[in-house]
Amino acid sequence: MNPGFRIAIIGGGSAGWMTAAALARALPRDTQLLVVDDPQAPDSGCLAPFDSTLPSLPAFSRSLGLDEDRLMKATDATFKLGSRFSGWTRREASYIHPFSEFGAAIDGVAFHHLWMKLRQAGQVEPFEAFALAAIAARAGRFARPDHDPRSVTSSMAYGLHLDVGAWTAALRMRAGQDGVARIEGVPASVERSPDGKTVVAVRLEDGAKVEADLFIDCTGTRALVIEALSSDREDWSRWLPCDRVEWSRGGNGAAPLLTEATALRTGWRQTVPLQSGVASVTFRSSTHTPDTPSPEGRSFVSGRRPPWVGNVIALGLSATVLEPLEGTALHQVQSGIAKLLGLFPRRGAGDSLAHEYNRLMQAESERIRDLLIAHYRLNRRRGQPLWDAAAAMDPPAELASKIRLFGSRGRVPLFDEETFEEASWIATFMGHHLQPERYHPLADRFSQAELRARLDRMRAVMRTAVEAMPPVSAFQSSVPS
Amino acid sequence: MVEQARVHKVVIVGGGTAGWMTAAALAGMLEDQGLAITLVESEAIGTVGVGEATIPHIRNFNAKLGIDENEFMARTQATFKLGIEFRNWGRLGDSYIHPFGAYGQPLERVGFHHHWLRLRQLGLAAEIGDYSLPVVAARKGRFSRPGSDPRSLLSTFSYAFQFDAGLYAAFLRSHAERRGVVRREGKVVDVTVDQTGHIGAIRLDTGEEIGGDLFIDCSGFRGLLIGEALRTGYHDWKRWLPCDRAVAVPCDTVEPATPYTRATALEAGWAWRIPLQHRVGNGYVYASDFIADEAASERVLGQLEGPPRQDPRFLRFTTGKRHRQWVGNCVAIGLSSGFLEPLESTSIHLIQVAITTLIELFPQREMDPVDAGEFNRVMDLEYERIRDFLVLHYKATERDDTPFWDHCRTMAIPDSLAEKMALFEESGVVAKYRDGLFLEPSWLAVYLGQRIEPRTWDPLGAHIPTDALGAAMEDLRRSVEQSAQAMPSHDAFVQSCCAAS
Repeated sequence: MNPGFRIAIIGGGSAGWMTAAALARALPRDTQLLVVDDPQAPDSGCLAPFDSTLPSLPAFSRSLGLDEDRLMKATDATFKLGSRFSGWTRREASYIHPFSEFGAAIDGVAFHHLWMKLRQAGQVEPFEAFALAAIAARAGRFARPDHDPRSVTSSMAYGLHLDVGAWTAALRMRAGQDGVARIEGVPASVERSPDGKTVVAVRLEDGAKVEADLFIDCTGTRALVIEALSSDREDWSRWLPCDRVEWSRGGNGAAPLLTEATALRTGWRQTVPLQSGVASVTFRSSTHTPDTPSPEGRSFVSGRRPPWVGNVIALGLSATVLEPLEGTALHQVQSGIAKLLGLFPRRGAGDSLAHEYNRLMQAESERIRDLLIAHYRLNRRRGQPLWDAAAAMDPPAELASKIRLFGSRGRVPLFDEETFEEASWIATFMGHHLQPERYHPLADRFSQAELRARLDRMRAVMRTAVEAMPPVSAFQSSVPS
Repeated sequence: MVEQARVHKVVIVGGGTAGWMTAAALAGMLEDQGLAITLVESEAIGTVGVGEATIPHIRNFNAKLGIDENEFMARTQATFKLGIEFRNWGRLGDSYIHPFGAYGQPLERVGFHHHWLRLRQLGLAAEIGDYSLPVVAARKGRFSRPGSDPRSLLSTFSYAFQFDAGLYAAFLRSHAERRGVVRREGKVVDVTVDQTGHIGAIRLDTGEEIGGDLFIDCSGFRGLLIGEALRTGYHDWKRWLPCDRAVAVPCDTVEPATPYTRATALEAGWAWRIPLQHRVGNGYVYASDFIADEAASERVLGQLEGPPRQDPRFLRFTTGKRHRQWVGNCVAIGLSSGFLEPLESTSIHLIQVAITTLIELFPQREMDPVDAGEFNRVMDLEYERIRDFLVLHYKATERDDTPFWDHCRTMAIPDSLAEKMALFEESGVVAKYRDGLFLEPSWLAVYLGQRIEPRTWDPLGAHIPTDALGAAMEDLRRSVEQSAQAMPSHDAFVQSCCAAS
């Protein structure tokens, strides 16, 4: 990279400031990093002002040297051990997608096949009764997991529920300490090179002109900068019908340690426990909702675009718009940053870096998309137009193959750049009552009595581990010592 | 599971490496599945016996069968293998080793090879192989098994074996037969296929008829079940991998066995050299469009290091794979499923992947096409990714001394490979995929060993001062050198642990 390489991050928000803070740490000191911050704009990474994250987010903040206890206080954050999905099958039914695996394989036979064998024979506890994170969440107990792989708690991970504005502010401060420059302004227009292949400058509403070698588009759903080079965008609303998000503070029924995702007649509601109280975010399909939109909300269209075009890289909602049904909004920003650092642009290289980046990001967002679609496709609500249509749709090929293989024999084929590994797919499929027709024949090498005893022992080990964790209340941010 | 739904009878057609590996692995399912396994082979039909050199994955296979490594080595005349030396591929006179291990460690989150590229440009770095313990140990003819302490250099490599595939098949045969696999001697003369396309039974020249629920075709190139009986088509990959014949001649051992295999590029293909305890395997894989059989045979005889142990044996093959490797109730494993030349010792690995995947997707008697579809997806991916890696060896060359190399250098290659090569040439980045046998260190070995010089390297490493970097790399080089020097000679190690009686 040439000394004085100039990077302009257009638009602040969570995506912009996460990018700024991470690049400032990773790039050579003589790189010029500038953020054009537009505080009035809707957030660039999250559709709603409250977010439920994956375990990758605490890891990201640690890599920036942020103290977690202090960060949690500043961002109104609570711990998250998974999500509870309610009403997606029958009205009263719910299941947990935990941040841990289920049980343990015996002699190379995967746990879910063992469980299926016992279930076929009659009595077995619910699947999630064998997931440490689900047991801990139901018991309202939490401790940070042990890193020693021999400890049972090392199999568990945690994410955070947080206030997006406060998270952004924490990163802005960190980026500022690391030398990132900031100007405030509203990006208005884009100046292209004569061949139309790269961006030369971005003009702000006040007339200021920002020039750079590389532009990171963090203008959110507006996608102002990248749109100047390419309007190539794929619309996913045929699979994901929600197009409107609204939010409010308050509400009830929040369990600690879990994000609640409740299916509604025309969409779904996310309940996010924060320290200061519960926040509630509703995603709806406007075609199925006659109500007038509430002012606290925004519209969106699910989909993606190739995020790297010329000298512009889109990160966050400017690249991919997906509802946060599985807590992936900020994860996608992080992953985009990590991949960008692995494929960092440089003079003398052709467009193969962009090509590789786009290949990886496409695979990643499509596989996340597939998991979201699975919730709609496998719903069992009947007699409601949105849900009836969702149950009848043709899913994308990779998801169709997962559903087919899991439904017949409990196998989950995994493809490039899966964010969610096998356990997450199993949790979702089992939760939606997609029960495999048969378990693996190797599960028959154990008698029922033997399996019963082994599974009881697994539960006992997990229960003991959970009992050793301190109880937490819904709104607690740190672990009592 | 409902008893009638179960597969009860498995019939394996063909012995050899594929047949007996499959039999031995499935034998583990005999007792608890109530499985009856019959293997049919004929002593009148020879086995091809390719794949005398292996990759480290075979150790997992053996471990799962509960095989003692030292005993297995003694019984198969085996030696250890740290990698493959490639001679004359990029240019005449070139040599590099593709090791079972990585080069150096990432520094400040930037891969070692990017730092190396940077210093190399300034003339401040040694050969990339000098930073790899298995490369240096191999060059010195030294070996010891890796250590388990992740902080030690001794944990940075893996190893495989060079062995007599015929003896390996015999070793696995005794393992399988002890566990109840039944062997039938005879040639298959007829195959009964029902209207649904399932095989019902096979008839032998002895008159015996053998029925089964699941048939495994290990009959070699012929593809007696999958090809001849079920008429499954074949993708021909000759346009990317032009070699279609081989001639093999083992010779006497005249020097201590090297802990590596050698692949020397010749005028119209390449020659293998695989040192075992009692002999050295040699052969020439060639393209019949570019050289005649006699010339190829003379070429390999002319460079033998010891007296030949038998007359040259010729093989013909079509590089490629079956359209589908699992059709109805028939699964093709080994050469019946496809063929990739043994340039990277992948033949036995492909057998192993097929066996593992078959066990993962073990069917019911009423075959669910979903199982076959998934098996075929997994195998296609495995074949195609290895194919691309092999094609790279031919494409990445500056050789223009024969029509064969002119052809290879200028041929069109699969898009999937062209993209990977372009990325590396432009940036030194190795494309990342979830599946596929060969990982970053392997691609680096071949790219750098065959003169694909990246135009740029990772700019995130640019802030590290070159003198500090140079000192760190020199420390590593010296530790590698010392660690290799401290190992016993390969020969002594083999004698001490696993000499054939």
